[in-house]
Amino acid sequence: MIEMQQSSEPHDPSLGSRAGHGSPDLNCEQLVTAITDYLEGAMSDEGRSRLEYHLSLCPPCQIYLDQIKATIAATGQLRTSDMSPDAKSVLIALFRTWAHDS
Amino acid sequence: MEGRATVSTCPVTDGTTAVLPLDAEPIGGDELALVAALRRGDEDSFSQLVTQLHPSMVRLAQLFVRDRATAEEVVQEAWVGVLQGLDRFEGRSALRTWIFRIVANKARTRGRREARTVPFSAFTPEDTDDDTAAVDADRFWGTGGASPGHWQAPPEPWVDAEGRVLASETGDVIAAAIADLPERQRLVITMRDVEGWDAEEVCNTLDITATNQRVLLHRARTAVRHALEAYLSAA
Repeated sequence: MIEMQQSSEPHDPSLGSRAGHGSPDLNCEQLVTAITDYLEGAMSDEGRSRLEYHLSLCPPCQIYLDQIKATIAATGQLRTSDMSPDAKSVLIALFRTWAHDS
Repeated sequence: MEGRATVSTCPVTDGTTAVLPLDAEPIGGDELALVAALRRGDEDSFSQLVTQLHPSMVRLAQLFVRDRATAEEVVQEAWVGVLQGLDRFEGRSALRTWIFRIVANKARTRGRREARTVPFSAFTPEDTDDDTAAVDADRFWGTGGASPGHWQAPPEPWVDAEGRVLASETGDVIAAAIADLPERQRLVITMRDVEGWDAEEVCNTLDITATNQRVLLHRARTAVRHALEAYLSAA
């Protein structure tokens, strides 16, 4: 497997020379390993270019990227903003006491 | 930006006097006006702030403590801390970041008492909960394979991915997958992808580096994608 680098600097995936279909620079496993760095904007310009070049030539990796994006969007659907009226009343009462005392 | 977040991560001492990163965004005029309104006891302003932040605060607290009731208690304590600390709030970070840090500190303390959590301060860059691969290594050809490092079992497109993935039923699958994650991954993915916080806010609240944050997020997202893939291909 490809180890994630642990340096504090933005980093590239291991840009080895293992060839395969797609890009001569980056293989699918390296792309998958670097996908979060890519989406987080934490890659160097060079690393980003190599990753995007690989993506342009590799339909399975495009599918993978789309699925990660779909996963992020779907996870965001879990957010709710419900709050019980009771909880709110308690806090308003607390605020009144604080405002009165201070 | 990420590089700066790494060096600006700072130790959490007490939420009300937390040292804030030097490059934290100064708060805007609207927020200063809000703080001033709170200080003079404006109830409507407080009510709006509660509506806006309380549900997220409870979810944040719930990541550290045993149950929702305890989380509600912790958040109520945190609101007391916010009001008591308001005069000392200097606006060197966003108000909400400051409030979330108070919640995280109180919830972490409570969680530790419940033995629910390990202290984040014990968290080293190498410690990302486990040593397993973040990706499904067996999906790729090994070094002796036909095409090392390339897909052996490529992902299948999710049919009508958008519609099905966003359907409410998949919410349960995602929630279950998140619940099964190691604690730090659960915290990070909840803050980032459920709550929509930015990376720096998560680093500052949890006192972790930008690199750690990304590694944890990566592992968590990979696991959730995997759970969705299993669910969608079985259906």
